[in-house]
Amino acid sequence: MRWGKPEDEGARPSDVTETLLVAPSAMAAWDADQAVTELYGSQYRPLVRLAALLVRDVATAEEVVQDAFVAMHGAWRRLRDPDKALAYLRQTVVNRARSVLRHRAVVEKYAPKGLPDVQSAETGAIIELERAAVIKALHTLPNRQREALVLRYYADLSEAQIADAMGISRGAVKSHTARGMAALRNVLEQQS
Amino acid sequence: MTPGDFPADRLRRALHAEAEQVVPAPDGLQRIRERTSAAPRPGLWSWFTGGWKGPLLAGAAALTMAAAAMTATPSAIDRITSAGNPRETGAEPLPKSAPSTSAPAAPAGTPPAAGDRRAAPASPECDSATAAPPSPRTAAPSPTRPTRTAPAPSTAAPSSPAASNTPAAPSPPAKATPTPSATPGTALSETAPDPACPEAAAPHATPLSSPPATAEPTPTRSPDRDTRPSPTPSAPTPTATLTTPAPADTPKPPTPSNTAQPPD
Repeated sequence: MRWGKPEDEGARPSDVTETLLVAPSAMAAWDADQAVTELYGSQYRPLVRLAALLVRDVATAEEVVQDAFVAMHGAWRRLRDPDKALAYLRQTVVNRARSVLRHRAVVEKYAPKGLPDVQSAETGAIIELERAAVIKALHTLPNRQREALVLRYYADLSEAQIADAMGISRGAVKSHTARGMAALRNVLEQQS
Repeated sequence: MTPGDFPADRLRRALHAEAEQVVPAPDGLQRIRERTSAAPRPGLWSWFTGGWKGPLLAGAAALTMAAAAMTATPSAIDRITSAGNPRETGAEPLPKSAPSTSAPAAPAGTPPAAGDRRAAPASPECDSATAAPPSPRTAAPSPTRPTRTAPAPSTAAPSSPAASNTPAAPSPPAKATPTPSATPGTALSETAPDPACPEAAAPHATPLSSPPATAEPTPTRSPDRDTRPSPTPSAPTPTATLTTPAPADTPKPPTPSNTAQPPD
């Protein structure tokens, strides 16, 4: 698999972009159930992975994505352009991931501390150290910066798509991405 | 690889490797189906109120309400004015109709023809009016009857008996009492329109119809069936005439005529 910047997304087929960028115009003829079925087959797994990177929990990520599909099913009539169903799903996933993290922050704020980070320990034992360090550093970033980095470097979305998914401007996307990368670099420097 | 040249590729690899380990449960679609089937489906109402249709429907409803209110207002105003201000409404027509009827009636009262014409148009009104409030009419007429001039005819509209009475009724002394008041009676009649209905009904009968002529207006005002209010306004002036005739009525023979009238 070849890696590249999201700007050349059209020329670089990655598994994620391949699945996320598929937006058949035939969706216009689908009804809500058909749309859910078809989009589930092609988008569910990438969206769950995207959500897992955002919320750091597979089960929660699945719930988030399922919520997004249910919301899309309910809003199918209002989706004037069915081709934008993917963008709708992505935006819903990002928004709900934010809600989950917000809720989790509140819970962790009032929860008794001292619980070990089981996942990090497991992952640290299983996966290579570098990747674990990067992921760990990623989760220390503010939510917006982490969202921007994940959407850009995992989902390989363009700035416009990231702006649409996050509900911010393209300039803000650039800013969050640059600041996120700088912060990640600083964290990795400190770890090393 | 130093942190200073931390590349995007490194982050990308880490992210993809992390994501690779995420394997969603296979029953995801089933869960979604269950939730979508449990959730209320967007029905006709959502289509009805969705998007731009909601404000449009609200505007249409507001226009409909405004139109209904505008169309309903005239009749409502009429009812309110007629029921709430009977005196005012009655006061205006009284002077108008009274002079008109009284003027021709009193002078031409002797000629029944003139009275007929006046009464003719009024009679239908009286009929309609009398039809609704027979009881008050009969009550009022009984006193007026004697005068023959006034009220009796109103109910007597069925004046067929009144016509038969005419020969007898005029002759009785009741006429004498009205006649003295005749000259004043004209004035009074102008002001007092009570006997209007009687005139219309029995204009043929008596020359005294002048008072009845005055009575006509009252029905015209009260034509609405609210005879009560209309008579009251006219009452002040006519009361005098009525009171005077009242004694005449009781003694008079017209009582039979009265009795005959109710059956009609």
